[in-house]
Amino acid sequence: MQIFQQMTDMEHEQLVFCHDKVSGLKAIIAIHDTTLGPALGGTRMWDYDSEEEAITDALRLSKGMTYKSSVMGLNLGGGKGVIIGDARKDKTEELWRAYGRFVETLGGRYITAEDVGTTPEDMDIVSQETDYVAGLAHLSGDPSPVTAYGTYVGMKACMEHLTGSDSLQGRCIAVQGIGSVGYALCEYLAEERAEIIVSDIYPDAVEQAVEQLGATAVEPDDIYDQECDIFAPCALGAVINDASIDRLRCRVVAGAANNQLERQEHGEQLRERGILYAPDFVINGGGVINVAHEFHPSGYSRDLALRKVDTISDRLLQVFAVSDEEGIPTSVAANRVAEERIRSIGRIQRIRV
Amino acid sequence: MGIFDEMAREGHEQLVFLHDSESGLRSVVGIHDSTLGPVLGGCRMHNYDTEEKVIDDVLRLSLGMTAKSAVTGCNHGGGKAVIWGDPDTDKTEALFRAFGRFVQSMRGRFCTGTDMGTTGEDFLIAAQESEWVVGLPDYAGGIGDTSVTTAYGVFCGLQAAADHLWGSGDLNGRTVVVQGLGKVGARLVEHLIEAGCTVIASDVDERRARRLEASFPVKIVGPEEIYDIDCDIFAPCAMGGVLNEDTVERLKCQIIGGAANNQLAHEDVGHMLFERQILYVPDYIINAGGLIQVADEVLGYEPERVRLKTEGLGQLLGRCFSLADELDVPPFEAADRLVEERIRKIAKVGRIFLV
Repeated sequence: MQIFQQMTDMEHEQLVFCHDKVSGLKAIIAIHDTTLGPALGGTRMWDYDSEEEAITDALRLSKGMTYKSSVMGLNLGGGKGVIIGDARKDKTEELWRAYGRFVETLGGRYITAEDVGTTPEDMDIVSQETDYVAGLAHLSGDPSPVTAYGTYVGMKACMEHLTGSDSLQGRCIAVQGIGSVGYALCEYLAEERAEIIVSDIYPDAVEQAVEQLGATAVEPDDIYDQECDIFAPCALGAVINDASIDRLRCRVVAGAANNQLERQEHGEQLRERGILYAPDFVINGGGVINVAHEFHPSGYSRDLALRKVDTISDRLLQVFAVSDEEGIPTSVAANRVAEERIRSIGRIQRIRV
Repeated sequence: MGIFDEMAREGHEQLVFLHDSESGLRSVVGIHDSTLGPVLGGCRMHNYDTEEKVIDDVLRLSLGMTAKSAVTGCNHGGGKAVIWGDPDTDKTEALFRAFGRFVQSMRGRFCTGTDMGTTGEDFLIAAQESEWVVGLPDYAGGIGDTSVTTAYGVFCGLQAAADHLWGSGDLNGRTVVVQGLGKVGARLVEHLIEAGCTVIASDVDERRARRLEASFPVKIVGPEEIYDIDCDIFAPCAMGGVLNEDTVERLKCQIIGGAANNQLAHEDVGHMLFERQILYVPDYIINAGGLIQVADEVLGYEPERVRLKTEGLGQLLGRCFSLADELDVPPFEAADRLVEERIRKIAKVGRIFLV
């Protein structure tokens, strides 16, 4: 693997290998672009098959964070940490503290948070060694309800774009995956008296949605075939793929999952099929908005964070407008919006104050 | 090659890849061990063939800096930076400003300056972005070139080796072969002639050799003959890796000591020299004068303190040789022991809690 070649191709600033012989820590911190501010991104712990995979993941995910923060109008750059190890058995106090010290050496250029394979408890230990941990339990707390709210706001924007009305009343919405985000989303939908179809691999959650929210349950694999207004992927990534795309019978794809498109061309295919796609990193930006509000001058407030989440609606409408004007998929338009903001904010920073 | 495997082998802490698309900067900072303090190490610029060679070099050189700092009593860890590019054609203001910004982002954990392929002028540019740059030119308020101090340290080290081997540090009448007549080598020749030595020297750049011949009574030989000359002391002051299976068989000297870094191609060569009863002066001690000067700049430069500490390299080598005799190991191994010992002890002292 040629590291500089990859950094050049993807335009990364910095890739930091951190090693500690006492704890056995092997961590890679990728900093993609800091034009807008310090690089924010969670730390993933994963038992990668190879070092190359870990590097690729760090590079890819940190770049994704740059775009997500930019499009949300946050003054944050993109970063990501990955720790090579088995999250079930390799965690120790010294591992997290060594990692925390390395995060601290970056002096706030990188701010970490929990992610796949890491927990708030792990981050509590990390925070004993560094100030640069976001999303601790006693600050902005669990981001799931905020992500869910942002997804709900985003769905309304999609309907507004299509029909001129943002009401979801009587609309049919098929929600794939009702974990902490998906379920909270369904609560908003139920409140607005939408028709809800749910699927999940855990029957308990499904049962609860049926009883409490009046949802209709379908088998996990049948969710793609439901005739509905909105298909909302809220579980795995890459669910919009060659196999699923022709089965969809919806007008909109809008959900909270990360990396919903298996490949870029699936965005184009949705467009060709006349399905409006709410780009995942825009509609699921509630979580990062929530965490970013820890850096608000007056301190964290859930209320202020939710007001900022309301702007997901404007952002999506802007993306849809660019998509229509340029005749490009919304997924590509969202990247343009993110890049354009970095470019223009980068330029105004030239004005000496 | 796995990067973490490479790091684990010698216990490197951090390897930082830096990239800037605007200037084309590609640089790697290696931080080996920061137990003793903020990491100090020069920045080399070289047009490496491959990325692997860049990584290799930065790992190896940063490791050497830990040893050099630790053994000389400096409170610095070991690090090194390399910029991957051609020093003749790829230098721009933007490149060194971008590099400077990244150095600044490390907030003093890494402090750097000139090395092969970079100049004080390059670091005047980097210093516009970072306060963690040392060894700036004297006209810009820095203390300039370290070659004078390095050469003086090598001279003191050779006296210590002579004292250990021959019972007197007086080099008068000794024949010394100097390989490499760059800034350090040329200055060492001056010291040796002043001390009454017969000096035989070579440089791959023949003009440089001839220039020296015009000002000093030295005998110039070709770069390949240099290993075959009957002499008392052989002083490698050019590239690393010059002591290998081939050259060690050819050398006809009793002492090897010079300014070059990483003189031993590998450790086996050090054992061969030991068996042949040639006293090899550990390179990272005898050439530590430059580091002593730069570390002093960090503290607030005192020329007298630098002179005393540089002369102290002689006493340090004396201790190293005695320890080697005591343990019946080559001096380079004794030097490694001194390094490990100091890092271990100072780390332990650091555990005492302070409020």
